[in-house]
Amino acid sequence: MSRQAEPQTLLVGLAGQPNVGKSTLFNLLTGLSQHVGNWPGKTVERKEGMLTHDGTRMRLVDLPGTYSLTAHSLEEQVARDFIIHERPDIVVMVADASSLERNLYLLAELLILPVPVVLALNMMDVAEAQGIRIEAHVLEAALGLPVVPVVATRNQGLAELVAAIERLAREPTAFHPLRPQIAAPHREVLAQLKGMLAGRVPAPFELDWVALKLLEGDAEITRKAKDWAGEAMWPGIAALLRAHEDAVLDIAGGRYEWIGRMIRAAVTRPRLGQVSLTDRLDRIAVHPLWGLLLLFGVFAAVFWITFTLAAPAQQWLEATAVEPARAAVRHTLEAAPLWITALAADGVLGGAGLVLTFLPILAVFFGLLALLEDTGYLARSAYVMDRFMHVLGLHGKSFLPLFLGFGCNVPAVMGTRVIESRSGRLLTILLAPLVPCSARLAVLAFLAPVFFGAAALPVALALVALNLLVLALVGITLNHTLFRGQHMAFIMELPLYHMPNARTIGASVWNNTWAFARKAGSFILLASVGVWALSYFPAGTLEHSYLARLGRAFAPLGDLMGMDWRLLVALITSFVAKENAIATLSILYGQDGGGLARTLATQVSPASALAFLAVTMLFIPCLATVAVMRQETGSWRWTLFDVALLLAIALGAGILVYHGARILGMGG
Amino acid sequence: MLSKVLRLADERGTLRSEELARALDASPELVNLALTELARRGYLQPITPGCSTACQHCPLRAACLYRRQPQVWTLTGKGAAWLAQEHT
Repeated sequence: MSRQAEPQTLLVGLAGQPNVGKSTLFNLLTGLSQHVGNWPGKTVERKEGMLTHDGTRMRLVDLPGTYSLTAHSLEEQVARDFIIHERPDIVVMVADASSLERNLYLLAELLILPVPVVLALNMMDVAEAQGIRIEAHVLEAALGLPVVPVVATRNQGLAELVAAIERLAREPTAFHPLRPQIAAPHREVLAQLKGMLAGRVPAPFELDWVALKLLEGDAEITRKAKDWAGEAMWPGIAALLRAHEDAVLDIAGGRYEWIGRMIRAAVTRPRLGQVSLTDRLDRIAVHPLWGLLLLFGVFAAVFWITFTLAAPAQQWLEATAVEPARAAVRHTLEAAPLWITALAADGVLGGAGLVLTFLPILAVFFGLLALLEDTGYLARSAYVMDRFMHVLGLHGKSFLPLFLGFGCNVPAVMGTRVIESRSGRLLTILLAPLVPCSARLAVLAFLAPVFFGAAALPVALALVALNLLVLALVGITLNHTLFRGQHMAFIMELPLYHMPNARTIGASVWNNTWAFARKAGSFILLASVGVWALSYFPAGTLEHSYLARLGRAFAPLGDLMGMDWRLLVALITSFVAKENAIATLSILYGQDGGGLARTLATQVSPASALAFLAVTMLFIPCLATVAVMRQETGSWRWTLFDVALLLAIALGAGILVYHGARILGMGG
Repeated sequence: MLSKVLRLADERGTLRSEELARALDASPELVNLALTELARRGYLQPITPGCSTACQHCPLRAACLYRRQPQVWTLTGKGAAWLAQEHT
């Protein structure tokens, strides 16, 4: 190399991870004396520049930014090859002081290469602004190599850095780094490997480094070592490596322990030793008992606020928009055939129109959930629920999709793809419809105050708890009969708590209510018209309609649950979309013009109402969910089994709830 | 440290990275690096609850409630095999 022509010129490599300010430092040190080309045979840019300090010339090479030196990428290979083949006098490792852990991993890898290293702690100002204090002299003593604090953007510490490079180049014996160690059992294996490779590793590779990289499973070195070892020696080496393929846990693990020691020695963070806000809040939020109670309390608050704020708004919309609109339509279409008037007033406005008055309920409900999500609490509830799943002995990964089920059962079923085992996936798919989705919760939020007035909150909570209880019981039963659940280890990184963002919450509310409005304008509108047609034809009266005939066919079943045929028909139509239950009730009960809420309250007893709500919450999922269940299970047999199972559970619960409520004196 | 992470995950079933950091006397950032390394080496697998994979074509994605999901790591077959070997 050119160093032979210019023996007094030091070759200095500038290594570091991407975005640590390495290029800024390089530009400041070399100024205009830069040369840009490509690394031989590579498309990676090679930047070189000259620097003279106190008569010492330095040729600086800016190495590509890399996270490690494992030759996973072209950049890593280039940086590693430069150090091995060009043997720089010094490598300056530029580190982001505000993210030292991440940066020290690269240093740990550099230190096993035969080159003296100077650590430039760049972005010290950023670290300080974040409250991170790094004692450079302590770090220097702990690492056993020069450490220089630098703020490249302010031109601070550069002279000290150049002086440190020069000093180390002059006295390389002063470089005595404390390198990461590997555990004793693998030290022996390493010694064995070195013995097998001794005399076979060509220069400039070092035997120690090659043996370590082999044990670590480095693909490029393994390829090379196979050639170096030859056919006679390689099978023995390969067998030794196979027997110790998990040695990487020790080798890389040793580096992380080494980083941990360095950080503990020289870095103080404002959070260390103190209890941060997140830690304080999490003492309760993720506590096995308090966490569950808090979760229940939070859900109770969500319902209470929804009832308090949104239910009156819904009633107001119904009274001031839907009912006057229906009256106006009847008046306008006075001359039209009777069925057209009925279709517009009862089918369209009474069904889909009433469902649109749900919007305040959904806006408040989704707003509150988005608030919980944005603060980071909802992620905690996933953690608390996961523990609950473990207590039930369910497959560990089940909670993830089931958790999504609170939003919508469709992604919950699709989310089971994260479970590898077919039995675990199948079990979770079967359970997913038992998670009360937002549509069912909205129906509950609408009907609970209608039926139960001031007692709506405890009733709604009890019904949600019933769903979770049934989910648990079905889960335990299926887990111990049809499927074999397995314990899964989980590590969760929960986001920090933070102030919610109004824009994010607004976007969530808008997206959800808009999605709902579109659904009301399509599926629910069509279903409403269909229900209305079946409730009107052939005789023009409800009592003699096709729907009445259908409903009466199920009357014996309805009698067991205290439900008349209209409630049964509402349940059946909720199969298309859960909100249809309301649209159907409105068409079937709201035709006298007295308002759905008042009519329902007078015509349905509390025991029947409770049974109806319990069945609604547990009933077979909507059409979209069933379609996705078929798609994800790939089996009609399992899909129909689940539909039948849920139907049996829902009807069984309806019967039990009705008779239980009657015994408690809630009327029949 | 990497083997300790696997052992702790195995012992406790479900644990938060903060608990892991406390047990290892390490910073959360270092724990995150260790988890990423274990995933890169095939012992852990990062999983996202649903939305990034399952809901890619979901029409309700825009309305999805869960955006700030916890990052969840679970053992792979390789990780479980290593633990089984440790137990013997």
